[in-house]
Amino acid sequence: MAGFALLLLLFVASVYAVALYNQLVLVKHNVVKAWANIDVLLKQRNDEIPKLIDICRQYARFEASLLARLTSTRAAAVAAQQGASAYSVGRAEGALRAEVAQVAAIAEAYPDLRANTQFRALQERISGLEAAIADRREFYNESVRINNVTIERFPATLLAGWFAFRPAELLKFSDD
Amino acid sequence: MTDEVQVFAFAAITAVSGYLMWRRNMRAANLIEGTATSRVASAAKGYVELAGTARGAGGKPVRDPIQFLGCLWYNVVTEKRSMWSRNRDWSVERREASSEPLALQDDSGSCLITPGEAKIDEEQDPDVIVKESSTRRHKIWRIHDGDPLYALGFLERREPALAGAQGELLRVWKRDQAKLIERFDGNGDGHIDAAEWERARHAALERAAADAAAAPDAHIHYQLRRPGDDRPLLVASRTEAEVSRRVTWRSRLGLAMFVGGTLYVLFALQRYLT
Repeated sequence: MAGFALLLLLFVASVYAVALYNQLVLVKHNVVKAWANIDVLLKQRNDEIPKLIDICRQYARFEASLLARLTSTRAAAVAAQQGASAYSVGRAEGALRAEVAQVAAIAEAYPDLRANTQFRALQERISGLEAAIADRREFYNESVRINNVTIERFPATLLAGWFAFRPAELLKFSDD
Repeated sequence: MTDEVQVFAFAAITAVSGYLMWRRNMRAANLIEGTATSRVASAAKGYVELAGTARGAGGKPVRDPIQFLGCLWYNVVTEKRSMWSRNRDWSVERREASSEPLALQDDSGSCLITPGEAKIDEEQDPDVIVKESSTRRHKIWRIHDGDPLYALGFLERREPALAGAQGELLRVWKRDQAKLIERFDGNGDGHIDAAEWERARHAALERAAADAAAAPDAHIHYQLRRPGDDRPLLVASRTEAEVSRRVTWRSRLGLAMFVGGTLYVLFALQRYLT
């Protein structure tokens, strides 16, 4: 009887371990999926910025140094995105958002630029994308929290250690 | 001996149903706890978890068939038992659930849920049990406007099926040739040529788009479906914490039933064999 009971215990433990492993896989993939969802929007937003720079350049007096900074910050954001590290993307993204906000603030002094329908449409598109990025960042960070809590919980932490499930990094923008 | 066989069979059934209950609820608990809550408007297409408030989707008003109370969704299980037989347990006589879609609304938007595809409040306690007689009763589950609503399922954008509606309109128009010619025969030759037919198609498409925009659920741009794989579409008029607690509890109960039933079966087998 004791042998049967031991077998039953082993069976229960192995079913539980399989479910736990599947849970670790699920939360890990949820983080990857959430990151991919942000990545798409970051790319779309980064593709809009050169258009914004081109329109601003048409106004000769518009701050050339700001546009040059915006160009290099965008290049840094694109490079950071290719590295796919949440820390570097967060830093580059914070800087880029600050530059874009500055362009919008300075554009207030240029009535012709503000009246340009293309400029207004671009500004709306960029702020819409930034709002969507903010929402998805919140979702990504929640997925990261779930992943990190799951792999630190006992007994999942044993399986996470054996199968090398790692904690993920929160996405923090440097202007937060 | 007969009693022993009955107890053995009961233990075996308890073990099997406990195992299934344990696995199903453990999986549901893992999905609920492992999926972050999205906001409707910014959720990406795919398997998502949403939490918000139950709202009507603009369809027909719904009333439960027992107490006739207005609600967004109901499920009625009618049970009966025999007055005289030895077994006086309740057995299900009839099930009836409403099929009108309902909406989950959060601070960013609304999402349509079709009850037929979802497991709504399954295995939760009923809201009310109405006793019709000592041998017949009705268990009623209801979701009201403003109730908390939790859902886990496959989110996608709703696109009105304009092509289908356009085709249907053209079929209807073609049945009345005289009217069709009167409307679209621009050159007055008594026939609809290719250019005139194109104009008719365009008019049908415009009408289909106008009808879709005027539909009561036109403001709902998303819908939650059962995914193509074996993951469920779960809906509950509870908060996420309550749903999670419930499935975890049921998972543990299932495990206890499985272990208890299996131990008894093994014990009985050993006794029988020795």
